Amino acid sequence: MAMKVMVSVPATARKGDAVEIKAMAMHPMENGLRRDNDGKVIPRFILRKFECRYNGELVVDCDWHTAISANPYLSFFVKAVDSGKIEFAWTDDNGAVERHTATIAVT
Amino acid sequence: MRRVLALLLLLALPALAADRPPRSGLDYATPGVRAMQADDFANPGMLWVQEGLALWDRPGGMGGTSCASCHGRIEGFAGIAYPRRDPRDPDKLMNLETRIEKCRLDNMGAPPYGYESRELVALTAAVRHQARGRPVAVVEDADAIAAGEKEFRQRRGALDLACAQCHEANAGKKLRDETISEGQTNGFPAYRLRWQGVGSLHRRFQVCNQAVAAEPYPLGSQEYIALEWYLAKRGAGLLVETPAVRQ
Amino acid sequence: MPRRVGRRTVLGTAAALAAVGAGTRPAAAQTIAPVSLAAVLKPVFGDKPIQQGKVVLKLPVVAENGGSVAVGVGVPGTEMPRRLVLVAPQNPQPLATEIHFGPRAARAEATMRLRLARSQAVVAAAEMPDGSVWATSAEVVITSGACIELGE
Repeated sequence: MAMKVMVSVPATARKGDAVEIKAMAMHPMENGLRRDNDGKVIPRFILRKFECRYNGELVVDCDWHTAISANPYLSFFVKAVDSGKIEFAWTDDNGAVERHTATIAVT
Repeated sequence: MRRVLALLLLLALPALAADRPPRSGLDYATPGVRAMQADDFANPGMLWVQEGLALWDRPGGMGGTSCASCHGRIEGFAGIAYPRRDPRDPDKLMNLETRIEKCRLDNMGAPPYGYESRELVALTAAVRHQARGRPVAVVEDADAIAAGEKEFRQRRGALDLACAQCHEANAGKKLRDETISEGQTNGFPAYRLRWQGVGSLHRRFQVCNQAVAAEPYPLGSQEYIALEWYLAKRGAGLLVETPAVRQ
Repeated sequence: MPRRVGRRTVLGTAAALAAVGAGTRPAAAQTIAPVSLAAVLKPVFGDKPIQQGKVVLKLPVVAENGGSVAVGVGVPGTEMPRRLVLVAPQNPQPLATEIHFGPRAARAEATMRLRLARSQAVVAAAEMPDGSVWATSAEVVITSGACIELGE
């Protein structure tokens, strides 16, 4: 899908800490209700699902609908348990998935 | 004597008003907007900057070159000042956007992106972002700046309003629920909530022209570049905020 | 990007300009309809009883743009809800999001930005592991910008 995404994951964390994660994606979140200059309805096209996993285990997953703003942003907290990968996935209306991976070192 | 003093003071007033240091649009923004701009991971404008950084290194055109092939690291452009005159055709004013487009065409042999294309907006935002926190750099050019000021003070449109009437005479006052800003340009390209994206300064000019029911100039036009030049000079001392968040 | 200046733009701007200096009263402070948690949440939770409390919802009192309103939602404490739901009852499609927290979440808490069609009371609900549903609401006023722009 090659969509621009940005995530904020600290490079290091102490075991047991609650660590804030922020994730943002460049997307119009077209709600299917707007019209173009010719009066034609612009088809709905949104990111309908967001998921974050930490070494394979679920942190958070969201269903998104048309009331989520363009360039959707989400912040949440993970429990720093072990070093490894934090994986992000955004799924659009066509089923295309954009993935991003960050690493975290837990001491 | 007292009367003379009072008169002198009165005469000095407009000058004092003009000498007031410029204030960024950020100073007029609501707390929500300020919070969005303050955090790079919450500021959606940074998505465009990230895209622009990738475009800087992306090869293209007939020679397969990128911006980086000739210009090196984008950080080197932190001090760059635009608009300026085309060295080969001094009557022609160029801003960063039209300069990049010309570079693509002349030096890379690549098709221009198009003025308000996502690519050009992103690349411009990435270059301007390198100067974030530094005072806006302005090339001194009395003629170009005077031409821009003429645009700023020109009444236009069905409402017969000049830029100056809102953004100079009435800055700080309320228009409906919004505080009118000085119309400073130090945050552009900027993420506007109304656009749900990053847009160029000239796109912003067009919105203003349309709001007074005036026919906008084309994006990248000489009139807008002159206005951009004057506004940069008028905001001298303000720090670059690109990508700013604005309402 | 062709744009035409429409009659609405001209009228809107004229009206707006007439209001310069008229004070700080929000011009678009639409009245906010009272909200029934049970009615708003019925499409999601059916006839389950809705209790007030447990879930916390943070919204600005006034938002400058309905397209991007910062929202925080959560269930304080260690008990993880099965799901959190946000509803904007005055939106054309009211259900905004449904959030599930997994074993690696440190808190049942998230912030995001909502697109709100108008001033309204937003509703948040949490379904707990025992099946009980807890809800709350918070009002936000969407103000109007200085000028009417095309496409608005």
